[in-house]
Amino acid sequence: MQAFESLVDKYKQPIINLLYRMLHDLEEAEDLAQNVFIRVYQSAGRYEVSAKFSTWLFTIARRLCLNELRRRGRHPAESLEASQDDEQSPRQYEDAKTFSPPDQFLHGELEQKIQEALDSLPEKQRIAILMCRADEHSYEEIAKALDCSVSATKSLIHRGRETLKEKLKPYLQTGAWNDDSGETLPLKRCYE
Amino acid sequence: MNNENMNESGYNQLKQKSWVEPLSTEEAAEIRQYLADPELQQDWEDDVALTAALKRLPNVPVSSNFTARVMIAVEREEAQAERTSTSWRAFWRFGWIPKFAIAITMFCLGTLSFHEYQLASQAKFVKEVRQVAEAAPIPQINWLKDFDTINRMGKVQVADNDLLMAKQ
Repeated sequence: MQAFESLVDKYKQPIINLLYRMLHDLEEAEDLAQNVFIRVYQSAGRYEVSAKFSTWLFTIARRLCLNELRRRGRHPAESLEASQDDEQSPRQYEDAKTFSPPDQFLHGELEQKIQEALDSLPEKQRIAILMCRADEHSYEEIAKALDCSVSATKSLIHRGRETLKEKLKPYLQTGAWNDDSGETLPLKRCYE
Repeated sequence: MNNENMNESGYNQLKQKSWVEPLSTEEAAEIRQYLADPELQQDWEDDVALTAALKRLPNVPVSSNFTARVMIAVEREEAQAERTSTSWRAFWRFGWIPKFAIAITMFCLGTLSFHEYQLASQAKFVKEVRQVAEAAPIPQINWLKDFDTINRMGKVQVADNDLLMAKQ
């Protein structure tokens, strides 16, 4: 039980991140995340050590998330939270970096734009990109979680990113996502 | 031309790699060499900016009691599973009586089923025999007196004088 509790503590954040970005409702995301962990506990006997635990966890999360999205599609209901979000400024979450107030507003707006662009993607592309962004999963692990081949996964991510780049072009070229030194992160990391 | 294709393919591979992990110094140098073209450089910068933007999406706040709620739900599931198996174990714990009762019941059901099957088979047999008997009654014995003669008559091609005289 203690070991399971440690696993819940370790993976709750990435799981809820993914579910929230798909469902846009924090309470539902937490409820679904709870179901994910309960399923994991119940199915522990069927877990094959050949796959990473996180891959198995995200596979269950992906299935439950898609089930919920399909259920919503059959019984659409407007979330009170969503309607409130439309009227108010973008939700502000704790961020590792500290920004000055104008930057906070800018980042909030950018986050909203990214979320809108993500929402325009088909579900599988969206999940693939959200899993890809965290640096925690290889293509093989993402492919297993999505239940498709590695080449299909790369294709999903490529198509999704092309769509995102098209929609976010004006924002990408402002340099607002660069780190504090002004250089874009991956190249800077490479040249160090 | 081949070099360009290889470079484009290599560029795409490195681009895909950068989506899941940072590039090494050598890989970055290869990209820098390839990006002499300003159009390609813009594409790369957009791609890198998108990667950074996606990484910058903040973490969603998780309830402080989330783990506790999961553990409570798991313990509730465990208790429910335990209750179900306990009721079965209690049933069997009363010793030979419940097992004997079940055995007797199964035996009686089996015997009754077999008996019903036998009765049904017999009834079916009787019905079939009755149907045949009604459709084709057994001929009387004196009808068969001239059977051989009549049978031979069917095979005769020319008039059989001996047979005619015998019939007289």
